[in-house]
Amino acid sequence: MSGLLKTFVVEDDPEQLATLKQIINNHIMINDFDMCLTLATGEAQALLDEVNAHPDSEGLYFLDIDYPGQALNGLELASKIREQDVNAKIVFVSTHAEMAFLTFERRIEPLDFIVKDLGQAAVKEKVEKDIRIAYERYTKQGVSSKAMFSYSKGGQLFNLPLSQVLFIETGMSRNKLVLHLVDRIVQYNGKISDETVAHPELFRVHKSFLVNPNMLVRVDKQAQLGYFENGETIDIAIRKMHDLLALIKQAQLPVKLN
Amino acid sequence: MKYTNGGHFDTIRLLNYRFSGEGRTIVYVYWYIAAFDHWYSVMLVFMLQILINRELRQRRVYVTVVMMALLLTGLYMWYDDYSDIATFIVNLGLLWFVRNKKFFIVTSLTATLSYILFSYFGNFATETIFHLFGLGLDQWSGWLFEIVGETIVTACMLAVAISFQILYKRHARQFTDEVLLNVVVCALAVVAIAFFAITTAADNYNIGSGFLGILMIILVAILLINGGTFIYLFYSYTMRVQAHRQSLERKQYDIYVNNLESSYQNLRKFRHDYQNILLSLGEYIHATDNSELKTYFDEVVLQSQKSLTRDFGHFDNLERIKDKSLKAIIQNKFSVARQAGIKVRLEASEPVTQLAIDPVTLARVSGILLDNAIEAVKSQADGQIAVAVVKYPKMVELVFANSIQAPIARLDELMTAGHTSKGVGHGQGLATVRELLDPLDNVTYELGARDQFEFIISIESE
Repeated sequence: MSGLLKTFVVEDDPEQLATLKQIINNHIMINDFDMCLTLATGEAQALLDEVNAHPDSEGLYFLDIDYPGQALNGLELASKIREQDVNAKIVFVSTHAEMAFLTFERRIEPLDFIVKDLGQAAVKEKVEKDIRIAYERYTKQGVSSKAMFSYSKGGQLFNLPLSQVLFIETGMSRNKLVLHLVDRIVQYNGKISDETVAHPELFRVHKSFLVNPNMLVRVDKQAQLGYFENGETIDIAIRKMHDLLALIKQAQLPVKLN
Repeated sequence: MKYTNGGHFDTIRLLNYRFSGEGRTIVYVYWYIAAFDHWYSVMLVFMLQILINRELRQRRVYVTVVMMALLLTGLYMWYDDYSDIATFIVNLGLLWFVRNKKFFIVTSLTATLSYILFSYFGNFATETIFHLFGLGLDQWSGWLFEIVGETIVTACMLAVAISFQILYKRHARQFTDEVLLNVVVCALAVVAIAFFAITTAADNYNIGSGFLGILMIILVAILLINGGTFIYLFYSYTMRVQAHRQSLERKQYDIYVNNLESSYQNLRKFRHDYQNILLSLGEYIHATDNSELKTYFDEVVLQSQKSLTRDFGHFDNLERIKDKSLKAIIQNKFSVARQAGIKVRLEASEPVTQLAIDPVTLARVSGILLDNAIEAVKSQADGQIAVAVVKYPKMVELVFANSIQAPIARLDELMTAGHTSKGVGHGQGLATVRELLDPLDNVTYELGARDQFEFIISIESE
């Protein structure tokens, strides 16, 4: 990975493209960020070629949603970029009518949406803010571990940071698992024995619970329960209690015991 | 309590009788002993049940136990041949006091199992021990026999009680499953009835205990096969009825959806006509020189023009949704929401054809989710509801989202039945949604509440 964060812009309106270019270049220069505007183009395909040519690069992308007359639209372009660059920071710049917030959120997980209708000043402010956020995240993620967790649904892979994962539990019906995240519950198809093998960072504390030990806040030895910050609890098997406590001690996790 | 010297086990008693053959007096003595013996066993089973089930710890239960014991003693002194069955039935009589279904089953299971173990295994074990030590069954060793026998029996029963406690603790979920519990209870009842029928027969016709075992296996097998066949037939019948009802439901739902769509189209056509009529009417009125009529007309038309441009029935992207069930429910609920002043948005970037889910289920689920969303957003000043249909190569996801005022801490609690969080307005139906979606192999769901509440249904194409 090269040291500097690459920035890309695809905007089919030449005037707006020029404005965006200017905002981005100025902001990078003023803040003296370790970034550069690698490509600013009107052609979606040009960006895709560039990304394909440098598959391990990491970038910040400002994309429009609709490119009239072109084979690719913003959604397709963004999902192709995501395939190459898992950590891509994607910002959609478009009119309100074109935005499909929920759809994009679900499929692309963009960094931000910038609505053009709000006027030149607002757009400028948001672009600058996104540059700062992207740069901050880019420099920080090198230091902290960026352990990821993924699950699949209907042939589609969903990635999320491991620090979001609390535990996995067997569902009410056969072959269904329930993934408990900090602010989300996800049901998906799978077997807990397979997940135990697939995710060595998680610990099987019970025949129906696979837990992320980093997220436990309290373990009640007497009641054989584990507690999380939001109040959710899990059962811990007697046989596994000893191993779990050993693991907590070894990794020096901040878990209260009683 | 002084320990009574009694021939506790019926077979042994018969054996003794045959060996000694001392006539009527000894028979009376044995009857008396047997009565005390059963008294002991009945008390033991009762105490065990009271020990397991807290619900039974009340005065009238204790009184009943004593009354039963006295009654049994009297009964046995007169007639001893069916004592086992009588004891068992009296034991089950204790269940009269059990109100909680869960405990009812635990108690009855304990009574049945302990009684079987008690009569059959205890008997066999004692005989074996005596055989191993080469002790005869004369008058003296009878004492010893009785003590060893009762110890073993008590141990057996305690083992049953403890194992039930453990089972109940370990498999709490299975104990709350009514169907499974009923099946287990039925099976055990069958075994118990078979056992008592055969032992009584064996007692009365002097059949050896080896043969007794075989008889019992055969009887149990026959009863279980009968029961199994019945259950199979019953379930296949209910399944058929259910399938029929579902197809009926679907047909009616189709009719409803078609009616709804055509009435919306009629409404739109009428709106269009009405606007044209107003326009031409305006032309005529402006051509006249009645100024009062002119001002009145302009006032009225201005008003109605305003409400006409606000089309409650039209939503962007709705035409992309070709799944009739989904389209109808969105049309319906979005109209309700819009009339309540809630902003609604529908996202569908690609046309969506028939989804791989039963249309009635989909309608029920999305109806509940949208009702919840409307309920939650109503009280918000600037509330919004959005639905997105997201297409993947092998899957379609339906995202139902609405704005929230305060974050929801415990999403898992929203999903459990009976948990209603009126303030948020999502508790009511989510348990039903879960009930409807859980059995479907190709459907999974997610719910999140970060900046907004969202419920995502993922439907994999089959």
